[in-house]
Amino acid sequence: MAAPPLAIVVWLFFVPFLSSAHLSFLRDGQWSLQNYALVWRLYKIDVLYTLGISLLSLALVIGIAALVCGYIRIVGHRAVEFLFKVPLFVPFVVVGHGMRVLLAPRGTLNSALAQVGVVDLSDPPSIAFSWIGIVISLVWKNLALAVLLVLGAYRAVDEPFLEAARNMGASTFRQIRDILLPMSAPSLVVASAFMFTSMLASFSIPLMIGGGEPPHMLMVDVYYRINYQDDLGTANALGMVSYLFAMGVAGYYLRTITARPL
Amino acid sequence: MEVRVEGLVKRYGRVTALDGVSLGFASGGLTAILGPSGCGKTTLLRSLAGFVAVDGGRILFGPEEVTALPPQARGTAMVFQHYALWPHMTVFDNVAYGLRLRKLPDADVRRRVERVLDLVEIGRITGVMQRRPAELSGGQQQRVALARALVVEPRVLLLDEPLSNLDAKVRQRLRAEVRRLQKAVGITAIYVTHDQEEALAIADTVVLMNAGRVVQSGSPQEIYSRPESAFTAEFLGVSNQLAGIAEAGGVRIGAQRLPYAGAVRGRATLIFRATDASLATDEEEAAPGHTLLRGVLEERLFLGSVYRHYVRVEGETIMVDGTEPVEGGPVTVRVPVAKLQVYAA
Repeated sequence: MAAPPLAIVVWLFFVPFLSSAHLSFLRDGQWSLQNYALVWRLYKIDVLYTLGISLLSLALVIGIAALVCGYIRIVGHRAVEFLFKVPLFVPFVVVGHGMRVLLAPRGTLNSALAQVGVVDLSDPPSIAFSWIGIVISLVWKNLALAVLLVLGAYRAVDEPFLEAARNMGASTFRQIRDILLPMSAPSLVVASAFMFTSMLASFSIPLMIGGGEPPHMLMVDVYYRINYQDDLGTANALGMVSYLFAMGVAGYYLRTITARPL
Repeated sequence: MEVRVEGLVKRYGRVTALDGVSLGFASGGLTAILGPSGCGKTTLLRSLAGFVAVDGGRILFGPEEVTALPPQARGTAMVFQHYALWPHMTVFDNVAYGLRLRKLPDADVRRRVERVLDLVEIGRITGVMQRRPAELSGGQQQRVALARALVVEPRVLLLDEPLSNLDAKVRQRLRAEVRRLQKAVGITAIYVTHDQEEALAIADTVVLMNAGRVVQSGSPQEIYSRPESAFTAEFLGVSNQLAGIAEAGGVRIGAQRLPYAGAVRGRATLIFRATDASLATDEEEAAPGHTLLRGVLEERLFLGSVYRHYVRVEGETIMVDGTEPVEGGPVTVRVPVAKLQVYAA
């Protein structure tokens, strides 16, 4: 009875993966490493840029979620909990557009800041069309998922563990740092793995918020490579590089869930 | 530190968990709060710790009112039913946590942790300190939990059914340990339990609660030998209950009539303990100070120290303990008049 699901996995995942791997080693119909050489020559900065943005966004998302969820778990606040879950239902493109409106040089944020005289609109700083804009958008969008996952992990920590700490005089912050975080560390690692891979593969947000000049995030490079250069080989090589990182994370995830004690 | 609560009220929706509880807890004494599950005893303990915000009344630690203080500011330490030792910390870190929060120098922390682990007789301290709680037995875990609570020198020690997770043997031994520790430290301790034997064995004062109210409080001896209500009598020890009608000079139970000189009239509940009654196969003249009930012996169980006999009396089954087995059939149950309690039903 395992055949149908197996067929689906093979058809939807392994076949495209192998075909992508295959194409990444082809140049002018010949087996070659040229595509990877090109990736190394043209895109090594972009690879680092993508990793850097993903890691920074991930750190921010997990850090904010760890604190916010701690507050929700310990103090409890339904409205806060609801507000933090809203981004879950906002599509990436809408987030991208919203952030453009908010963060553009003459966007909502700068206009508001200009009102109070913090920003000079004749020479406005731009957060949109830069890596900062991408990070802010990715954090905003992923925060909801992070809150969902982290809060679930926190809620699995039994109340007496927290009460014992509170009883000893631990503040809310200390309860989060000393009890909630370490006790839900395995779940946090899993949540991080999920979000990191999704950030690596983010496309619409970097396309809409990132600058026109390089460096770009990898998925944007893949898009340009296919649409403007008609170069499937290099595009697939770029894809394989992202696969590599995602699989590293997946391996870590698998090790965590299998090594977890009962 | 003397602890007092005055008119404590706590409601959960429509359920009243604490219905105007007023009590004093003697300084340096161990008070057991006893009652069936849902009687409000745990709510009372948790409101003392500050985990539960009460809807009415006051809580005083000595002269200081702490009703509105958060748990962090109360200076209580709680020992939990499931120990609640932090699984990701070593035994040392668990016990040291409260001291580190107080920013004590490392040398002081180590000295005090070792001293308290020694006090709770954890065994080879150096070996145990670097272990995780999960590597210890239940009894050892509870000793660590006690150490963690005592090390911060709390004003009040709160114990929430601390031994109920342990098997009978360990429970008996730790019960004596808790008592020894509490006396050695001289701390005011409040001990919640549903086990009447544990409460009687361990406490200076026993408080019996039911349905959010205090039913009776007093020394273990008082509460055991002079129960003021059918509930108390029933809850403390294996008791027999018979429904009857109290009249001047006697109580009618079905077709039988027992002599009675008390003041209760009308529908009444007779209560006596299985250990206080005895069996005689032949109709015997009532020895002075005894009253007789006729019944039929239906069942007998050997409990180790005694035989427990189940006797059918006027449609109800009562228990009578005896050191000698008695064969089934018609029997006479003898109850000392002084041990027979009559309460208005």
